Amino acid sequence: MAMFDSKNKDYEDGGFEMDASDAETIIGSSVKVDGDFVSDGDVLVQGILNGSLKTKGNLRVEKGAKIKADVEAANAQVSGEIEGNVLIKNNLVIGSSATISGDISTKVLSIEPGAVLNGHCSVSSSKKQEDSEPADIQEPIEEDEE
Amino acid sequence: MYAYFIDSWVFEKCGRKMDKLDLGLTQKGASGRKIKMSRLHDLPSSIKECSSSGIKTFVAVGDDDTASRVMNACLKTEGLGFVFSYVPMCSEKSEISKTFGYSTITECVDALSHGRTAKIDVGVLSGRHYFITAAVFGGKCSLVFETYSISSLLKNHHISVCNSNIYSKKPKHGKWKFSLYDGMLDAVIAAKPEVSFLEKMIQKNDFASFSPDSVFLVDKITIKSKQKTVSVLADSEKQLSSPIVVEVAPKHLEIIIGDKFHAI
Repeated sequence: MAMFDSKNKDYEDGGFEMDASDAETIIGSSVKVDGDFVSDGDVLVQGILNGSLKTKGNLRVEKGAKIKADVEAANAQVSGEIEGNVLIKNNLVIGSSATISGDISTKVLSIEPGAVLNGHCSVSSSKKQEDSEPADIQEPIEEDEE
Repeated sequence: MYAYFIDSWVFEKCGRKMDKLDLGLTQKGASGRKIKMSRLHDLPSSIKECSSSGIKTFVAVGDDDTASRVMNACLKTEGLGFVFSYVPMCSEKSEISKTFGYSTITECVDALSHGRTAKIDVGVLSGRHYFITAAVFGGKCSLVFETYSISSLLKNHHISVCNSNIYSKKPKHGKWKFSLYDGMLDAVIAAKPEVSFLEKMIQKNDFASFSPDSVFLVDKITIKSKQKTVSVLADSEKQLSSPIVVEVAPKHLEIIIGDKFHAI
């Protein structure tokens, strides 16, 4: 099965796939972007990006891509290099060829063997946190003294 | 009522095609006023005159350059409610006719007689020049957005801002989603693949030989060049001074469409 042939998929177990042909913005392999890149849709990065990258949609960083920027996205699938902090709202999938030098913050994280990570990693699922909250303390019922 | 703006060279070079067009239009009841257009023709006054006599459909007959001239003159005429159409005399080279969904004389005559219309987006260069298909800029240009800029790492590339797809001959099935309705333009950096000398000699120097590498959905963008004057191919060739602001005019042009029209 081709990994990226299907439409964007958000799996319950935390996986995420973004279809390359669905990307609204494509930063090709022969292109260099300088500055604060902002987008509302899905972004596919194959080239070089320096500055910062923010998108309300999904992000896919392909093998060979080099990002020297803080990255923010709803979901992300990384197979290239990122030098900067990565803040992902939902799912972050780090591929075997990925190199990330920076702090990671996400809700669900999956890492393939071979990926390189240098930085702090914070994974916090708000749903799980709600579930794991301690129950309200109940006061013992006082028995009537007879 | 129709007004046909016919480029002067058409009478000299395309006599047979003109006869076929005349016959077809008469048979289908789509004939109208014919205006011979020379290079120094006063288009705005001809358009105003046609409009005052109740003509609402303006048809350019010639090549993409002719279509661009007529469309620009129509759009720049204040208060003109009009429908635009185009009969290409060199259909194999016409990007505009591909966009409109007809290329042969027979298809054009059918489209004109059926009168199906659609409102499409058009691009505007520096607030002055309108284009239907795409504005293609030569090398040494970069795309400048509000907070970031994009440059190509390759030598053999071009930058284009597209309204319709100039790269693929099958717009609906391409990877890229060029839409004539979405109120947006696609800024594209396209690279030409390395070819041998022999292939270079044989190959046509058209946009189809370039393959799009990067695409950015925009409603307004600035193109900067190191040169003061930039040569731009936007339906017709223009010389504009850098920086050039390209923006979209959403659903600004009503056109007659053919059966092959793909708005996406």
